This record gives sequence, C-alpha cells and structure tokens, in this order.
Amino acid sequence: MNWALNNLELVIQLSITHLYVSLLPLLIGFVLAVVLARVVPERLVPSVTGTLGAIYAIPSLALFVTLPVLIGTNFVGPTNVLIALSLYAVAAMFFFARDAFGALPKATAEFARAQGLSPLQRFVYIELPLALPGLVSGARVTAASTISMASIGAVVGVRNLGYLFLDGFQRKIADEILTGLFAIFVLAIAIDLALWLVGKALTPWRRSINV
Amino acid sequence: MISFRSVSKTYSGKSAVQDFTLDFPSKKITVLMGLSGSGKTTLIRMINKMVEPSSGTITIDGQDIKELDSVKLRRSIGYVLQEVGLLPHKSVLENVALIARISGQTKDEALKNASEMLNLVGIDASFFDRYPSQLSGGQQQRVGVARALAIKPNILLMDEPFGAVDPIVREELQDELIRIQAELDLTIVLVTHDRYEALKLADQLVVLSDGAKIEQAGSPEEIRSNPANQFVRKLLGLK
Repeated sequence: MNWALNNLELVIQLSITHLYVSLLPLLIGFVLAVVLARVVPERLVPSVTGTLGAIYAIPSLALFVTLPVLIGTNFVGPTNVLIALSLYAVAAMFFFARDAFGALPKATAEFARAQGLSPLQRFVYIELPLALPGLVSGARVTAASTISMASIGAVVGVRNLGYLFLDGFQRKIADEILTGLFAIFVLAIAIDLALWLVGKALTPWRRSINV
Repeated sequence: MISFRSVSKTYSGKSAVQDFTLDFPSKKITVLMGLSGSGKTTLIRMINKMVEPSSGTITIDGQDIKELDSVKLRRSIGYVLQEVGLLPHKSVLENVALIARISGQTKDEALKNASEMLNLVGIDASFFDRYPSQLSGGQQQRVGVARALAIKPNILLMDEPFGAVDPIVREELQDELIRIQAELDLTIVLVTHDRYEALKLADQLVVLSDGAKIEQAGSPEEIRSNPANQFVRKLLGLK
C-alpha cells in the first residue's frame, strides 16, 4: 500500500498509457468486427473465422515481436502493440458480432426487406440497434482480455501497468507487482462497468420487456 | 390491377408455382387459399419482388414489374405478415412513423400520418409510447396493419395476417379490414388457409392446390353454390 502511495504519479501515468493501448485497439477491433460480420459473404465465413481463430491462437508476445519483421514497424514502441491488440480484438469480436446479428428476429428482418428498406437503412435502423445487447456483451469480454493482454506490451517497451510487473520482478518488490495487478483489476472493472452502462443507455426498450 | 401471365417458379428443380395466370382486380380483396406448400406465399412474394419468377410476367396496372426498381416498388406496396415483425426497440408510434419516413414523407407528415393510421386500425393514443412487447398479439397486428398503410399504398399484401391471434380477435380484425379496405379503396391480396376467413373476406376467392394450380376462382357465392370439384368442396368444407 505504501509503495503504491509513494509512487502514485507513476501508477497514474502508467494507467493512462495502459488505457490508451487497450481502448484504441478495442475500438478499432469493434468497428472492424461489426463491419466484417455484415459484409463477409456467407460462403467466405468459414475461412474468415478460421483465419481469425488462428490469429487469436498466436501468443501475444510472439505477435508483438514478429509484427516489425512482417510490416516493417519499429521493434520498440506502441505501434506493434496497438496493431497486435487490434487484431486480437477483431478476432474475438467477430464471433460475438456474428452471433449478435444472427439472432435478429426473422420476421422483423423479413418485413424490413419487404417494405423497401435499403440494405443501409436496414443496418442503421434495425440490425445495429437490435444487435447492440450482443455486441456490448462481446465488447465487455474483449475489453477484459485486451486490458490484461496489453500488459505484455511492457516487455517490448510500452510503459503501461505491465511495467510494474517487470520492474517489480527484477527488483524483487512484491508490493510493486501487487500494485500493478490491482491497478489492472480496477481498470478492467471500470471499463466493464462503463460498457455495461453504455449498453443499458442504448437499449431502453429492453427494460420494458415483460412489463 | 395486378396480372400474372404464365408465371412459374422453381426452387432447385422443384416447382412451387407452375404456369399461373390470374388477374387481381383493383380495389378488391383477392384471397389465395390453399394448404401449406400450395405456393400461395410464393405468389404473394412475387408481387413485391421478394421472389423473382423463373418465367412469365407480372404487371401492375400494365407495367412489367421486372422493369421496376425493387426497393421503390416495395415502398409503394404495404406488407403485412403473420409474425408482424414490429421493431422491438421502437415505440408503437415510431414503428409506424419510421416506415412512413423511409418512404419519403417528412418527419411531421410521417408522425401525423402514423397517428392517423393507428387511429384507423383502432389503436388508442395512450398506446403510442409503448413498446411492441407491451401489446397483445391482436394489438401488435393492428399496429402491423397501420404500419403497412402509413406508406399510403394502393396495394396491400397480407400473408396469413390473422393466423396467430385468437378467434374472437381474428373476427374483429377481419371486420376492420373490410371497413378499411372500403374506406381507402385498397387492392388487397391476402393469403390464408382458414376457410371462414377466405369466404368472409374475398371479393375474388382463388382455391389453390400444389404448384399453385388454380382449382377454382370466383366470388365466394359462385364457388359455394357451384364448387368445381371434390378438392374445392373438401377445402371449403362444402357438401
């Protein structure tokens, strides 16, 4: 506890970086996954899910250090971590997005087509709002895994909360490691809560079901 | 008038509709009646190009619908289906107004029109702010009809519209459909497998067997007094 209080400024700084390298990939992953889930034609879905599943199976540290070789970015710095985490986020979110859009009420979708809504109108007015509960659940799971995975970025030079693990381990300061753990836990809970609230606010009709 | 000329539809080798020719007169109710699998739903879905015929032509007031843009065509034809398919995330009024809005009406027009149509189908203003899940099945279908009417169509397609509501409500809704049809001068094509509904609503009744083969077409009185064959007698419960 003392350690955390004595180093509060550092912890806050690291938390801000940690938030940035988790939330940006989460946002990118969310948008890409939603778009992919709507535009990938049915016959290509097996190969897309296969590819994304394979990406998700790559250990994160391995991906952080191979990306520079593959796409020529700097070995050190946040870009690799952002790209890698975005890839994981797309991979995870894609499955949730597919399920969320797959569970739309059939009659509503049928009516929308029959009454002359264009594909874009169907997406904006019907599919997206109705898929929101599923998308938000997916985002909550993806956010938790992204926040925890982001800490590994510290190994490749991104000074986020993962730095407290590395530094604490090297200097044998148990309190520092515990502080990092606790801070990540708090971040994850806060983001989860925020997403839950956003989901609630965007789906007012669900509160009225079975009234 | 909607005209089908030698229209066929095959799904992967199986024929759902075979050489179907019929006129659906304007401002009348034509009821397509048959057992499930008789192709009646396929017929109705061809009118707004949800299904493309494999061969033959369909015209509306002389215009071949093949040459019409399907989105535009669908916006001019009201559509009501058994499961209603209201948008669960929109209030009753928004459900009706959204469709009016998409068909090109201004926001004010759409809202005004939506409340008029809801009144017409007997939905009280106190229900306008509710969500569909808070309505009974009968009320939901009334909203479904109001929504289809909000685009001010000349043609209304109804696919087993009252199949999911209880018999008493069904009769009410049928009575109101007759009233609304007369009030708005609509051309209605309605699909049902309910013989009472068919005989009650039809100006022109079309009895279909497999492959949308017309066993008999005419007014309910003609068919009742002079059923063409055993199939028609059996389907309509006539002696």
